[in-house]
Amino acid sequence: MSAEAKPTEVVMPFSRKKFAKKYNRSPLTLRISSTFLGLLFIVAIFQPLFYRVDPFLADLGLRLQSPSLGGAWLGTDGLGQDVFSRVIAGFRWSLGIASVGTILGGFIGITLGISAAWNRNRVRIVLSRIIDIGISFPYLIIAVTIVSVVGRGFWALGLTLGLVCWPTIARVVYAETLTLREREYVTAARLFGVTAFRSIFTHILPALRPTLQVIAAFVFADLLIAESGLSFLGLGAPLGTPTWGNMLNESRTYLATAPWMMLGPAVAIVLTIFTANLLGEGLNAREQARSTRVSQ
Amino acid sequence: MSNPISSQPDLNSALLKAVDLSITFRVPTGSLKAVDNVSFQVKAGETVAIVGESGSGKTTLALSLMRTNPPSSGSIYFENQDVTNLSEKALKDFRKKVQMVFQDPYSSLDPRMTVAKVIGEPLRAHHKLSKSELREQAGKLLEAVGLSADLLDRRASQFSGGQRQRIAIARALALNPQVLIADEPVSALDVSTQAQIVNLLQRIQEERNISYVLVSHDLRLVYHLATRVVVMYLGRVVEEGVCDDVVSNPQHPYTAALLSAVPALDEASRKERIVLNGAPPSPIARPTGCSFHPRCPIAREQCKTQTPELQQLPNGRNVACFFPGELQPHIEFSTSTKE
Amino acid sequence: MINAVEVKNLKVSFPTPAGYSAVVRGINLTIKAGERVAIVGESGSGKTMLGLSMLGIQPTSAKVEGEVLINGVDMVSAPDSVARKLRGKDISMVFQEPLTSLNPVRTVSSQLSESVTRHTNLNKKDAAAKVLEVLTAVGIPSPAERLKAYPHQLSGGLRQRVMIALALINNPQLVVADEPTTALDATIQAQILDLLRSGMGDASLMLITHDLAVAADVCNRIVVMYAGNIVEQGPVAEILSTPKHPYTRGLLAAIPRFDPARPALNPIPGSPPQITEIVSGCRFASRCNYADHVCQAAEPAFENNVACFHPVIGATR
Ligand SMILES: Nc1ncnc2c1ncn2[C@@H]1O[C@H](COP(=O)(O)OP(=O)(O)OP(=O)(O)O)[C@@H](O)[C@H]1O
Ligand SMILES: Nc1ncnc2c1ncn2[C@@H]1O[C@H](COP(=O)(O)OP(=O)(O)O)[C@@H](O)[C@H]1O
Ligand code: SF4
Ligand code: SF4
Ligand SMILES: [Mg+2]
Ligand SMILES: [Mg+2]
Repeated sequence: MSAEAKPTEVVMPFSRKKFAKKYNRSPLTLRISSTFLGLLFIVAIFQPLFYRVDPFLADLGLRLQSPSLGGAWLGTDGLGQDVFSRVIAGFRWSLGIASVGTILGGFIGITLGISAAWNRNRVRIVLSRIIDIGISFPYLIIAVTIVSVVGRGFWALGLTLGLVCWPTIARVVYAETLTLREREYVTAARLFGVTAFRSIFTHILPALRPTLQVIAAFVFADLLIAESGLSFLGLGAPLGTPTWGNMLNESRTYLATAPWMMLGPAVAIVLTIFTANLLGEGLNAREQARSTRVSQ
Repeated sequence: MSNPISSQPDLNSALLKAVDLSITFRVPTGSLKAVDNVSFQVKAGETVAIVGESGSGKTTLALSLMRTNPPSSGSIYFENQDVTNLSEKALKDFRKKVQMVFQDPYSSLDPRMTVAKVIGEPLRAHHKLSKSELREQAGKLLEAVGLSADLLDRRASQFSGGQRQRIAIARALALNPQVLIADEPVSALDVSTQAQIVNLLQRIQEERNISYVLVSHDLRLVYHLATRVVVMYLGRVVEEGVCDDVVSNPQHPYTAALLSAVPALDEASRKERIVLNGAPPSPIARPTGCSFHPRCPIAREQCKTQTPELQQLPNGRNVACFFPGELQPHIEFSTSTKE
Repeated sequence: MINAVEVKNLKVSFPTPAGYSAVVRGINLTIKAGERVAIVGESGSGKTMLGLSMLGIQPTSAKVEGEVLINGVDMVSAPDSVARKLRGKDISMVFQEPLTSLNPVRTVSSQLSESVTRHTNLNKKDAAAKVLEVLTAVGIPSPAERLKAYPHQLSGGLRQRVMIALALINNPQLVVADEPTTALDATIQAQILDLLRSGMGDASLMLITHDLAVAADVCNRIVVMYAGNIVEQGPVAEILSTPKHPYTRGLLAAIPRFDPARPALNPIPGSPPQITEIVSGCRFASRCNYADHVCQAAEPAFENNVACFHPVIGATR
């Protein structure tokens, strides 16, 4: 028998990637932002632990106090409620609504994007038109319209934002799936009799994951802005609810007398959005680094 | 469904058969006939090579034999059953019996999957197997292609080109096919790795009596492996016959030129090389008359206006040329005695 | 001037977790004026790194030591401003995939004439004439019409001819061609091999390939590389008929031929060592049929054109 090749050593032996190792290799932006966002979520989930006093405790005797280390750290508002505790309470609203919206939007966007790219001919044309139309609509205006019909509240807002934020996700998923479905291993799977459904789960979704992570971070940041914006305009959470948008809105009245009232919610909004964007950038950078490493 | 007269399968031992197959793509400037009226058959245990330059329609033909895109006309038979219009569900059996290995071992394996998953993919699609059964089968297949079963948990991206092609072959063998279509299976590999894969393919054929459809432009390789050869130019068959005869006595000038173009170890072949002008045109701008005439060293006036049909010569060869056998390449045949 | 290039003890190494490891391990090679030399070896044997570092265009992470003498200038130690003057003029390169090495947004003529005006003091008109002349010389049909074409508008074969024209336009002493035909079709490959063999004017050629048949087809001398070393070299006829190194014999036995007996191919088992792998003794020993304890103990020196303790005597097959 002729010399059949012996199996040669495999190029680089990888141990199962441990979380810590992965973390240490990530770009600095990613490390900082994911840690920070994680902390924010912890605050959102366990918020009562972080209250200074009950955020709904109105004490008109204490109204419009300026910040002090001994008393209300960020001052009190027009009803005498503690601004710091209300900012903390706002985490649940803001992060929660943005999460619900991102998840729903992601689900719609992924389903639509993949269906559009996977099908051929008419189905694709119709679905990709729908995506194009979705992209070209100003989504805040639709959100405002929906909210004015279905009413306000946590779930109403979260689901509404989900219903309007999918087009960007769908567009990206569509474009990537178009190239992925032409990969030879996807064709191969079909030739082995693998169903389309299974092929999407085994080949397409895992390949989309890195992109989805990046875009989810950016959409999340967008929805944070949207939620605050809506509340600020008085179209978001019910009046009196401790959300950052509401608080900003309320602080307008006291702009001249108690300007510190807006400090807490403003910083919270900017910081959270910045962190979410940083996370997006970090994920993106990691993906870039990875793809250059693979292509070498 | 299909034309009852022309497509009546003869009851010979053809396993896979294409009859008058044409495949047309719609392109912005009109339509492009990538495969034009091609017929050929593959019998049990034989290797049919499809040769031609890039753009001649080899991959399109191979993929349509696997029923990925519906032909615009013509039919495909497997074991005398017309599979041209079967639904994907009805094709399930066909999918087990006809399998494919792709040219590029890098793009044909999902880099994120482990070897066990890659090889298990066709198995899972057709059989209800437990995880351990799948692993066991995948391990056996891996050993059948000369790799160790210890590698099952490695990711496809960690392997070299030759190893990947072995994995791709193991995957194609998973369902125990009767026909394996190999599209340029070694052209992405370097010479010594090519030889390893060629030997592997030969060994598998001996062990399993599989038929191969070998798509290749390397005639040294084709000569080494094939029993029959189909030569394509611009989507059409220009010559077809028994491999030994086609190589030792090519009838079509294009076949002669292809044979002559093989890089040679001896000086004589080089000196008398037939070097064609230019490159094959696009099937959109197919030349009039004989499609090969702008590059043909022996073209006459007649060739510019009349189209030669594929005809059978007395020696059993099919050729589409008005002047068959006129152009002959110089080929140095090695004469080794069998060891 | 007799030598187009003189390579002396050239080493190319890359940083790895365990320190630098060499992929080109001290190569000595002289190419005479008008000579066509093939560098043959499996994937990963260091052929491309040898070629790139001769032009001083190796990846930035690579460390290059030794000398590459062209026109009395050492490309390794010369400052980049000096090396750049030689590159594209005295030494030039043709790559495997012309589409990625030509600028996609500039026309053929502008890329060619820029190279002329950068290295000579010809005026625009003379440069244009020179461009047309060299395009004709490399066998581009109706070259005047192709001048305004962008690379993607040309077929693979024509693109490779443009690459070769670009390499030849300043009458270099040496052209390094790295697998220039692997991406091409059989009949187009034959055209380009013809061009490389007899259309290069006075330039010497260093042809990098893994196919001994391609090497034999074009060159007068063959240099066989394995794992960063030259293991054998000699005139084409000698290498083909009486190869001395087991690796060369292995490469030859792996090529399918037009042999009616269809003898089984004899691939070299296994694959070359990884760059990080530490090998003591002959680097080919693990794959060599002739290896013995001597081969495990020390690395054979390159003597009498071969680096092997047990060079094989006699013809192949
Ligand atoms: N940028 C790099 N960083 C680290 N190692 C590298 C780099 N580029 C090449 N190498 C290594 O250098 C060695 C020689 O590579 P080279 O490209 O010269 O091989 P080659 O003989 O040209 O192979 P092929 O026939 O595949 O082109 C290989 O082991 C390769 O992995
Ligand atoms: N999906 C497609 N759409 C349009 N044209 C195509 C498509 N696939 C292949 N072609 C064209 O069909 C012809 C044959 O291609 P192919 O079968 O890939 O040839 P080969 O495998 O012989 O290189 C080429 O001109 C190619 O451009
Ligand atoms: S028909 Fe004419 S042009 Fe065509 S291959 Fe034959 S001789 Fe050449
Ligand atoms: S030195 Fe020894 S191991 Fe190395 S090639 Fe020669 S015989 Fe083989
Ligand atoms: Mg092809
Ligand atoms: Mg190389």
